[in-house]
Amino acid sequence: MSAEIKAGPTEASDPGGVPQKRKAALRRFFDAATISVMPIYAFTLLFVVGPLVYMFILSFLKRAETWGVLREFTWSNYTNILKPVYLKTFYESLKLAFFTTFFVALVGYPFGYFMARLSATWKRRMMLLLMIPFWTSSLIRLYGWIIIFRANGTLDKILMGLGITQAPLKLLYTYSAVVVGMIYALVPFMIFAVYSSAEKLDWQLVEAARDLGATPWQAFITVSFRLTLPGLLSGVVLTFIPSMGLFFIADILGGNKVILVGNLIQEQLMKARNWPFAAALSVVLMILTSIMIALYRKVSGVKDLEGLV
Amino acid sequence: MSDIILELSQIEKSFGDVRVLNGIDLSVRKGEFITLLGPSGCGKTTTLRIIAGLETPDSGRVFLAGKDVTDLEPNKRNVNTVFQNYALFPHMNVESNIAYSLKLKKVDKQTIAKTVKEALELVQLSGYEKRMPDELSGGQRQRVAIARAIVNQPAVLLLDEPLGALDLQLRHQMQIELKRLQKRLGVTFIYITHDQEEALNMSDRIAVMRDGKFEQIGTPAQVYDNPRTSYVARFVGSANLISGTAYNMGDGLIRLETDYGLGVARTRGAQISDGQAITVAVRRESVNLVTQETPDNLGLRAVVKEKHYAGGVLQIIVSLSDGRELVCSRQGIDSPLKPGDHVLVTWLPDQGVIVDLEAAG
Amino acid sequence: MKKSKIPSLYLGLMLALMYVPILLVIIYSFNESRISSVWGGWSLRWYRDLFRDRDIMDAMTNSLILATVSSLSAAVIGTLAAVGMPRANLKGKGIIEYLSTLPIMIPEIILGMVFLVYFALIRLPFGMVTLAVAHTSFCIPYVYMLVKARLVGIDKSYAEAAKDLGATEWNVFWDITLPLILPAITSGVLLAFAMSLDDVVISVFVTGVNTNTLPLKIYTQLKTGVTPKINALCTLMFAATMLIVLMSAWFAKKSVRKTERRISSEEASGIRNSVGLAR
Repeated sequence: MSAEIKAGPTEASDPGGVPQKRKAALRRFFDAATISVMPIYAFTLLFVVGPLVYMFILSFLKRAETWGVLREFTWSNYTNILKPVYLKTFYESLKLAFFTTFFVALVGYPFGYFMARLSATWKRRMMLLLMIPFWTSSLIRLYGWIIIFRANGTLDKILMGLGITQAPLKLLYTYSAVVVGMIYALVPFMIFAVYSSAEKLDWQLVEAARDLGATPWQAFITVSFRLTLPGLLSGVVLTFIPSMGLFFIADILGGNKVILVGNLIQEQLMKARNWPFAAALSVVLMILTSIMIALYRKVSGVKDLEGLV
Repeated sequence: MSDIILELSQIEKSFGDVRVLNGIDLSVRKGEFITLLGPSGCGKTTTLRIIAGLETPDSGRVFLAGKDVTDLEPNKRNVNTVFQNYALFPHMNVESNIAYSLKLKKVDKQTIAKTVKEALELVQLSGYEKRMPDELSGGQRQRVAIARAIVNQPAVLLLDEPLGALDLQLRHQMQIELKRLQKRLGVTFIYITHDQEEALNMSDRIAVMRDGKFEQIGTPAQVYDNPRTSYVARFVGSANLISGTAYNMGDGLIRLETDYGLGVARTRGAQISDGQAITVAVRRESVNLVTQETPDNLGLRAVVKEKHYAGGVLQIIVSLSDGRELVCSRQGIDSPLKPGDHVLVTWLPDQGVIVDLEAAG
Repeated sequence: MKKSKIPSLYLGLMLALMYVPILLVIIYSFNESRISSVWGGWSLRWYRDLFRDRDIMDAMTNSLILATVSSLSAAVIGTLAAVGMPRANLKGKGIIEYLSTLPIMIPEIILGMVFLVYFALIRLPFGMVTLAVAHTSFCIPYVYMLVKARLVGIDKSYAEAAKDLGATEWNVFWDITLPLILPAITSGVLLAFAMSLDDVVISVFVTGVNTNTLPLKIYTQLKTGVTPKINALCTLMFAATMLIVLMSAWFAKKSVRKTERRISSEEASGIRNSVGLAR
């Protein structure tokens, strides 16, 4: 402390300098703005950074024989993931995520794009109409699909009533049911992302392309699609990431037939009680997620995801 | 007639309840520079969009080089547009923007490169091939938009207020360049503006539009010197309008009797009956202000209200007894007249143009 | 160019598809029959049963307490942070800001998992406390982002004018800033409330043995087998969420109007009307 004071000749010559400097520092520390951000600093450090750091550490610890963890370093949790049975889960998870994202884009892109071309009044109405299913609890929406898919459910009744099928289809607890449930849960993200990008599109550019000899389709590909691509990519990220973790959709509509990374993590945590392994799985999932976001930023050159809040 | 490149016949168009075009007829000759002049909302942009194929008229036909193109998609018409805000594709560089239509036509690469180079030379932007639109100034974007529209060699080039976004000096320069370019290419230009000076400077013919109709179509000289209606007189020549009763004086002259005094005008072949109510348009620079009584008692009694100097001309505003104002413009910086002076407003018979004859008859 | 009908048809069809599952749940909640695939006529029977079910009523109380506590804590933490961040003299502001939004960026399952192991580590008793902390973590970003966006739109000169007129920092916050950002806070709190009321994934991990929330109750039933009561419960939850979201949208709109002063023709006529009324 004293060495510091001597280092500053002007302060040494001014007897009131030390307490004043300390006071200034104190005042700076206790000024209104600084105090007002204290809660978020504390909360974030304690309940966001803390848990994430602990998860990372945990993923390198050994599992105790019966309960809890040992304070011993090991790579085994990560090497464990490389076992065929777990690799297969990752593969299945990624496959389902790709499937889901593909169909979500196929369904959601035209929706967001068409929506952006509506009149201002209809845009507002459409937004409100979209808000309702978007904010409805995913459980309620899933339950709706159970009613539709189950044996002798709505779909069976319609199909059999029309004479298209003769017997119940038994669609519930199948892979297709899971895919439909996933698409249904995630398509609003795609719609909002594409919409916010297409809304900014200057439609005069499309007219210019048509004027210069482009057919409607050529004008769409060379101008509209190209310029709404950031929205589409953003939608892809926003659907791909959650689709790896939505274990309860696979649980409810797939009836334990479809096991995803999400299900695996849950199982390891709650049933197998192998927390270090669950942590390692989460770390890998988080790295995959970060790579997706980084790739998106690189490709689109945009910092924030479009359509997010 | 074979030299008519574009013909509009009885075009009508409404958006919802709003009638935008009210039966438009127009014939444009090959190589002509024709300007649609009118205030915003008069339907000039809609007319242009109908020619381009971006809108379909409710009724009426569009003929391009003798062929009915009314229901043809924009990409099937040999017409190109320079859009108001240029509409350059932001994700393509200058070269790709200009080459866009050629690529769609699957023109071979060497021809494309050659055409793009020539087009850029024509608009004096050689060397800018790799620039992106957001790296260009307003004037440069303008040139790229023109280059992009002409590489297709359109039969008609449509320009929607292309100079509207530029500053005054650049606008004058571009006016000259555009006119030169049009002469050189021999392409028919249909040009939209609300700026009468621009229209007078550049056009072979001007079509003055009002409320979805053409008020008068003619050469700049015809429209300026012989406005048919008070609207044209005011919009194109900023003329003073004086209403009164007409009495024939022989030799094609009429006397205009008003509440403030006497004026004159030439009939120019029109049949005017004694006692007919008419309006006479007198341009600002044709107005004389005199302080002494005139020999034949001509002149409107007025009081000088204010004078101000702007853009190289002095404007003197006088007010008539009922408060209506007339404007007189003079070369020079000042005049001996002061506010409050009593003056007589006179003009030569040739400078008084009788307007709104059809409307009145 | 002719306008195609395909877009409107597509939009209509997709919207219908989005609503069908929800409508089915609502319709079946009024089904008299015990076997849910058979229609037995309209009835309010399951709603009566629902309110007599102690377990479900407890879960509902828990859910409401939880949503209130976490959205209000988020309101305080998020608002203070959004207001203070731009002026605070602290290092690592950007990093903290980024980290604080992580709970809505990373997959929910990871958030649930890290909370489970971490709460076990720091010996927080599993139950309402852990649920409240976890829910608060994903509620903060909603409030923070909405308030921050609103603050960007506020003209700095208001605060400067107030200070010029002798206001202290505290006066400025209380008299100028807070009233202006109140709609944004309300909108954020309502969204956070709705998110908390709906959360399953994170709650599954951090709940205690004897603590149930409504979504957890529904989740268990969907996995094991549904009783018709669940239809009625889902319908009520749907109605509650709708009410909250519509309110939030209304407040958000109010916030935007104040910010941007974009006068659309509708608003202009609204202003004219009110002027007319005043006369």
